[in-house]
Amino acid sequence: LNLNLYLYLALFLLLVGLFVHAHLKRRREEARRQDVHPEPGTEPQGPETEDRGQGE
Amino acid sequence: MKPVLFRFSDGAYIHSGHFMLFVGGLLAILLLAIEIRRTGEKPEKIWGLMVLLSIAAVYGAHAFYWLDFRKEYGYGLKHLFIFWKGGMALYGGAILAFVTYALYTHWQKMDFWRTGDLLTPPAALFVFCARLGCILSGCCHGRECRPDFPFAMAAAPPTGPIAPHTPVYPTQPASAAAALLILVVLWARWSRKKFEGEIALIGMLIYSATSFVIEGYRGDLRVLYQILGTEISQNQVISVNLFLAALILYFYRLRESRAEQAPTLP
Repeated sequence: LNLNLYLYLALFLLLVGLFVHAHLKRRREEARRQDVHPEPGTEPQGPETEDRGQGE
Repeated sequence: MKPVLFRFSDGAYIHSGHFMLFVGGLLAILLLAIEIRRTGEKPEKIWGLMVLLSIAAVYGAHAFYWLDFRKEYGYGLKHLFIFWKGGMALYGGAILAFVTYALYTHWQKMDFWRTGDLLTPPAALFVFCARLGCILSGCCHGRECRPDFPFAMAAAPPTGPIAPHTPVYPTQPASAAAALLILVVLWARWSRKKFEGEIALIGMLIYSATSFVIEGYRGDLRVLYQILGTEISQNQVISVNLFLAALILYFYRLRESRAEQAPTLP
């Protein structure tokens, strides 16, 4: 049985793993950055606090 | 020489040439990871490129080998796709990898030259390991030489037309030494580079020049032309073209960088 193919597969999977890891890390960083400094128009909407029916 | 590096009790085996490609790949990935951290490049783009380059390099190298040796070893069409059996030809991998590289950097809007600088030292390390694999497996051997040649080495099977144990030129150690030389020169040059792309172009220049000379002593290559009684192989034709292209690009990039740095008159 020729095991050479498994060496190439291991190397390829390592590269795919590094790519996925780096990609996910970048997305997490971007999400965190958006939480700290939300872009205009993307601020989270808080609960409605309309002064309705607060007496006459 | 040890063509089969590991042989397990159940008959499974790992070929030394392929194993050294694996080791070279691992070391190149490690060096690239260090460089990415040092330079602050976007890792997701570089690793994405590397995934595609690995496929292109392996298939390109195997296809080139298949083209060169299909008659000698009686390879059929199915062998073209079984890359883990048979050998690799470095220039084939480099050509297909370069096409992939150009397309990917354009698509991802990456700096063509800066990314090239980043990838060249790991590529040299990879080639060094690959050439150690050639020594172990006995491929890429030299032509027959006089027994009193100071660096003569005994040819190991499969040697094609050369009888085993015949004294041959040490082309495999010479190729490994050339790759190591490239790595050292690039390492020394990195901090003093004058323009983006200089590292990649110096790597190409040294590789093509050393390769042209070493390939002239190889005993297993397909001869394409005979010029003034000298046999020129396919790899040597590629080496000459690569050298000229790298030389022209080097001076073009140098002039461009000098023009950018020159003070502009009011």
